Amino acid sequence: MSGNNDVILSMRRLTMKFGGLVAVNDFSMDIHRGELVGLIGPNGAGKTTIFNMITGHYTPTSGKIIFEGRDITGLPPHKVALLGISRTFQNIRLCRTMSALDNVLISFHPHVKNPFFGAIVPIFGYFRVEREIRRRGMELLERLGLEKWANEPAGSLPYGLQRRLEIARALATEPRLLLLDEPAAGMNPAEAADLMDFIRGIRQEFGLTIFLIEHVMQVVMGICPRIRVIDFGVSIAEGTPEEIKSNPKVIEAYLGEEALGA
Amino acid sequence: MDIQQLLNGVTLGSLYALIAIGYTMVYGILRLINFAHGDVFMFAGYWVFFGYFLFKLPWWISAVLSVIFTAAMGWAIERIAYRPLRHAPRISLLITAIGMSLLLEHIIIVLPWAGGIQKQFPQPEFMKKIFQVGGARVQAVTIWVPVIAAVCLLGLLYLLYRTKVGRGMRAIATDMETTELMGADINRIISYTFIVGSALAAVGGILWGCRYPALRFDIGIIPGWRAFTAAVVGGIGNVIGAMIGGFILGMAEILFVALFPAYSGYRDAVIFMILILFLLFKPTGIMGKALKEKV
Amino acid sequence: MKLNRILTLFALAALFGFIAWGDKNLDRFLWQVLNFGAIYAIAAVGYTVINGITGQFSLGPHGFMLLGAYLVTLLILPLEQKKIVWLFQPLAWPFSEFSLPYSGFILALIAGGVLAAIAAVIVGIPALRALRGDYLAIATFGFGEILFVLVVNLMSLTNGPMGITKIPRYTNLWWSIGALVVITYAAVRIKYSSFGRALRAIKEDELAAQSMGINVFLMKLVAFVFSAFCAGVAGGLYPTLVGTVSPDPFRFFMTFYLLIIIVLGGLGSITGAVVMGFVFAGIFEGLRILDTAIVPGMRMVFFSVLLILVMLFFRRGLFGESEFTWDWILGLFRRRRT
Repeated sequence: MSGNNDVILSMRRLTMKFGGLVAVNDFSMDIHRGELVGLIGPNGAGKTTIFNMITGHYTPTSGKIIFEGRDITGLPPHKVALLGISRTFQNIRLCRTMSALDNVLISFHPHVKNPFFGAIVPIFGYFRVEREIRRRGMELLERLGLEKWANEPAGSLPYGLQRRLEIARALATEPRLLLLDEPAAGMNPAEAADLMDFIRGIRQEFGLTIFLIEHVMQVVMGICPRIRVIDFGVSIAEGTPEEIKSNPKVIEAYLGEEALGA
Repeated sequence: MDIQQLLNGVTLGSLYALIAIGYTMVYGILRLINFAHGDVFMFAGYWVFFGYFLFKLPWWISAVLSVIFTAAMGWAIERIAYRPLRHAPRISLLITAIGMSLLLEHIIIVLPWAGGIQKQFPQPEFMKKIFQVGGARVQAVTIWVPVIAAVCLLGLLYLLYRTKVGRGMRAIATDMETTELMGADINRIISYTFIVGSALAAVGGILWGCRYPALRFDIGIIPGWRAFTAAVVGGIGNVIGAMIGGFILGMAEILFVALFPAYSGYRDAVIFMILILFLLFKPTGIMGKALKEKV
Repeated sequence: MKLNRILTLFALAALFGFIAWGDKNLDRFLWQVLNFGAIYAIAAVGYTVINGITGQFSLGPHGFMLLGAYLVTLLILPLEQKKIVWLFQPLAWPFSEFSLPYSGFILALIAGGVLAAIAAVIVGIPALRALRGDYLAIATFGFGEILFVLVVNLMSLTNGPMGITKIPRYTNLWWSIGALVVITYAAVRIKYSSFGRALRAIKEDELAAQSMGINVFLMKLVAFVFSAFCAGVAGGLYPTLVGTVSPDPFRFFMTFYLLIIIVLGGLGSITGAVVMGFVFAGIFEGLRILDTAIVPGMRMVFFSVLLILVMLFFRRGLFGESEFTWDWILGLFRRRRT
């Protein structure tokens, strides 16, 4: 638990309506720099919708999102990414036919000045920039243990490593805030334990604030000191893992203690 | 706008509606713009021509056979060219449809009994009779077209809302995966959709020939695009929308030519402009609900 | 790396020699086919960038080619001929006042490309922002048709469906293959750059690309404009090859030909586009014999059946998404030895 008051992301009264359906209702939450916060809730509770609002894929029907003091409500996704927020997706969205390294290099594209004309008529420095981002891309892969796969098509990596590659790609934009959408999906307990170490590790190494959606309770209870619970688009509880596990409202939402047992 | 033009508009609108239904139904279930549909419509006219002039069959029999053969063509096209690509990227399907459209046109050009030159569609006598309506003299066909079209459209609505097959079609249009999981025979229903759509296009083609007897390999192209625009305007995927869109477009076309005769050469450009504007600003058309697109 | 450069320079020198000899000495029919092939290839390379690499299905290149063809014609047609053609309806200003000489041909070609590029910006801004997939295809097709109608009707600029004749025949192998080399170079540089990576990312997963900081709309637009520029240049080389221009060769059929070329060649492959451009021209002109001797229209039956068969069975086309590289050729030799 971080004792600082440095709020990196502030979500204020976010509401998302799709026609008549209210997916998220009056959701507010502050996340502090350096925190590792979890967001849980039954299927369809609105968790990914909240992520989509933060990253700009949806524009909230009402409410505000403030990132590092700046109002980012309604900004398009690529601008949000450039401001320092990265995310991964529930169903891994890698470019499967491109190599692992290329996947990571895509994120470095904004660093290239004059990408179109420079490609055709490479003036001084164009090739240097290309070499530089290649080097940084490989370095990133190495730090995450993926360097062996650098030139393999991303789709050929084992599932667990694909997840890691997606995270590597997200890290290439040098975010301060990383949103992970169900990174442990489809993993067995051993893989999940690896993932937990991995997440702790990158948070340390890259100085990240991490906001995590997860269904696999082993993971979220294991690494998040603070967890928020939502159901039907509304917050129903917040606290430490122990507090959440014994909260009657949370138990009711999840229909049985097995789900929380882990 | 006088009586003559009004009736022309209604006639044209009915024809567009008949063709538009085929586009909208196929798009509703397969999310495919069946480029070949307009050419199927054109082929129907040729079937009648072949039956009547080549095989010397009575007009009625030629017409009925035309509907049957055209429906069979629609079925065959789906079976041969679209079904194998059902799970392929959408672009592949679109390219195939384009290829099919051009193939149909050029088969007609190549056939010795048709060729690239214009032929005369056999108009039956009862269609050519002249009547007095209001102050205008109209051909019987101008009355027959909307009537027959209306009958067909009512029949279609009955099919869609009162029969099992129709329910299947509507179910697939809403959610193909779930419908499949619930045990429906997707392939059969899709085949029926193409058969029905092509049959209606055939009726449209025959009526078109009665009204505008010039028969050429490319007469399906412009009406095809008009009908597609009608389907989009009415709300693509929505059958009633296609009917309404057809009427709107038919009337609009007659109105445009009546009001701006100097610009009639720009007709096609205006139609495409309407299409593009709807795609950009109101893709669900007048009636449509948004077709689901997963984020 | 160094070896590649040497081989490429070698190949370019060989090409240079071939053009120098061939432009004067080749059989006229073959010469014509090569020019056509280069023209198709130029347009096809641009088309590959937007359709194959970026995955945005445009059906409008015929419109862009049309623009290029007419602008180049208007710029270089000699003034006396202009007076003859525009007898009944005088030619619009400023084209009535001047004509570029042969030394201005390259400017005319670039202008044709630029005009097409401007049109692409106008079309692309609304279309690429709002539309995807089938709808984008329809919208681009619609714009192509609108352009066609405009050209046919704006008699004072284009002389409508009657076309323009006695256009000086500037195009030769130097111009057509030269332009092809330049455009192919640009396209290959684009494909293998960070820009090209971003385009491929957009094709595979737009949503993910956005999350990586890529301005998807802008990149699509640039790719679209580039492809239009290529089409404009290709279109510009056409009337100066055959000596006449009319709207007719630039009907939707032209887009269909380009579609065949890039599908058969492999949707993401620039090499495929170039190779199939020439193959197509060869078959197309060669089959013209079939058309006149046997039955008109057979050519198109052949091509449409071919397209359908390829989509059903060989969707990857000849080269898939890969390119010809020297390593590949050398690899063939190496394998033979062992």
